[in-house]
Amino acid sequence: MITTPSIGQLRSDVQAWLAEAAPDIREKRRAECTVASDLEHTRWLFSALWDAGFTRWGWPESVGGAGGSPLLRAVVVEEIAFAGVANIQWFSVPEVLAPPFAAMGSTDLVNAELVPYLRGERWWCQGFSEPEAGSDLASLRTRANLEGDIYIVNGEKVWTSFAHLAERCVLLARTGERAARHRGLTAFLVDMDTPGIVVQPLRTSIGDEDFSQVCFENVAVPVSQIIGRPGEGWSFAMNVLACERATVFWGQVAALHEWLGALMADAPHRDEAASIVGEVYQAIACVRARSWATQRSVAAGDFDVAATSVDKVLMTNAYQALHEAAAQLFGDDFAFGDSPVPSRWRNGYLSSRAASIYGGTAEIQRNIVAERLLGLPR
Amino acid sequence: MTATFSASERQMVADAVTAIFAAADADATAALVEFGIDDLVASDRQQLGTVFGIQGSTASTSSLLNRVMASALGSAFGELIDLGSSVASLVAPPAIVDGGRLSFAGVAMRTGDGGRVIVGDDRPGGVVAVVDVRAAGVRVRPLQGIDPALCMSAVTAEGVVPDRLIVGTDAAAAWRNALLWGRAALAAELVGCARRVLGIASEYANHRVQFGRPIGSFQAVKHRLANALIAIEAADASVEAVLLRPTALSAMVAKSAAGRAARGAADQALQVLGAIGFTLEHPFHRYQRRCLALDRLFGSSDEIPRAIGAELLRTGDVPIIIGLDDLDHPG
Repeated sequence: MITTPSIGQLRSDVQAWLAEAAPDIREKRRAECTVASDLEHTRWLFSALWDAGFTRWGWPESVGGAGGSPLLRAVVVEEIAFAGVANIQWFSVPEVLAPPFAAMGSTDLVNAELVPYLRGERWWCQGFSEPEAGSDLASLRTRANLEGDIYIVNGEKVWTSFAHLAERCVLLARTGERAARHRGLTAFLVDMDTPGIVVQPLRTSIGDEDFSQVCFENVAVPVSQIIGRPGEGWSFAMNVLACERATVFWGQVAALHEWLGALMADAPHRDEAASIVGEVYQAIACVRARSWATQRSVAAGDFDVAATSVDKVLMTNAYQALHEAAAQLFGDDFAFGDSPVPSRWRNGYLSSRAASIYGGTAEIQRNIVAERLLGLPR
Repeated sequence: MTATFSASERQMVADAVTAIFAAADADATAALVEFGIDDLVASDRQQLGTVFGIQGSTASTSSLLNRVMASALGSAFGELIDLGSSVASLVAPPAIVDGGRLSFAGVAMRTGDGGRVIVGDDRPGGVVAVVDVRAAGVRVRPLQGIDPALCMSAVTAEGVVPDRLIVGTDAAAAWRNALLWGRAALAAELVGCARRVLGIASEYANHRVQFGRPIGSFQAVKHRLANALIAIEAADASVEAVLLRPTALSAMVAKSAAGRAARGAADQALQVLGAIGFTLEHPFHRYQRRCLALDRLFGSSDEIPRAIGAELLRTGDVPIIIGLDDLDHPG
């Protein structure tokens, strides 16, 4: 029986492990450059971290973890970010999907699926958005009709990140009447190999195969794959969105610090560099402070979902400001240069523009802040 | 010295301080000192944030900032600086020492009819001095400025003999420590002021009806006020960070974030208030003036980021201001 480590102790254990393994991990990663190979690398890292015991902390023992505060998960992801050995967005996905799944899924489903996910053996995608249901998620049309002990799913999901590389899909579908809006939704964990699922990757503006269109035609999903109970899909989705704007940011903020360091090393220090860098640091330090307060709330269990919209806007602003700074510092090279370093920052810039759209648009977040935090009329 | 206060004790202190500010005419210093404010803010950093937050949210005035910074300098002088009644003041100008004599020009708060000013310079070869404003060579010229309620003065000195003087590395470090706590206090005050401004505007937006509905139901109005709150929450979190883990950097971040949040809140609020916000009878202008004035003290929200950026570029490091480990050991 190992005693649960303190935050500081786990941090130094991970640091010690990384000190030995990091050069090797970076070397492995350098050779690989596509989205698919980067995810492959990350899945290997997931299994290594799980087998070393680090990523078991912070998950309840009842679901296959080693127990302890969820903050222990944040510490591990943060150290990975600081070490710069992985694209931290991969670590963000389980941090968003797995906690609500572990909390709401049936014992059998969780036992069968959670650990393989956290070990990187299976990858999950998030099937929420549809062509006609973006910000207005509750209007989604994908249907799941119960026939015996099987749901038959028909519909279309879109902007589903890395669906073409995933073994499972966390699917939000309508099991009730359309007029019931959010009350008629149910969440499922669907095997992507099920007949009737067709995945068509879409190329992002920088040419990556990142998100996909996913079509479901008479896809048979056993009732055992329901996450929670029928009709609890909206509650599950809201839990996912809360994670998407809360615990997950701790690792991403760490990554922003790392990226700013990289930008200072990469970019020319023109006259106005001090102002440009200082403004970005100011934004990053503030989101760090805010996210710290949110992690404390999560740990204390007095967590307000609406308040995380503040974190989301701050995170988006800092992330986009960092890349705006890159544009300013590289100057003409940013727009016209073809050497690898400015090209990488240019692609980063283009990717960063999505941050005010995904996970709830900047406008939706501000509506939440105004109505739920300031009490302005709907 | 550190003391742990319970949440209810902190609330009692907050209520008492609110009452003191409400009862004070122009300057709450004497009543605050009688209440024991010096020991309170010295023993519990959170109380420092609370007290300055209330001062900001009520647009009150006192010499508390001077006292906090003087207290932070106490260790450098080997004793607490005696401030006399309520009129000690601060300047942060370039200070030149020549044969133990000091020349400077700066702005001081609450000089009143006399008292002493603290002069600080944290550049290499630093200076910290305490100067009697009645000493030969000192000129004090009262200023109106953007916020006359702050009772600012222009203080200039030519070859004056200070009451106390230390120079060199120790002085620079001492002044940096005073700046740290001064900035933390000002940041808390700015956040308090900004929250009040936003509260005034939100309430107005809930009640003011145009086109048959409260203007707060229009998305353009909502987003203005949401942006103000988001900036305030960021600043508030950075104030908490500096109080928990006080460093020169975290104080700079907090001061700059709070200054910008306060100025932004004032701008957004005025736009929502419309014409009434421009009147003397509405209290808004007092808060607006306070936000603008406090932002300028000890580094504005325009200047501080540039200074931080220069330091980052010099070292190549991107420091973190607070960590999860701090949750293990709450301050």
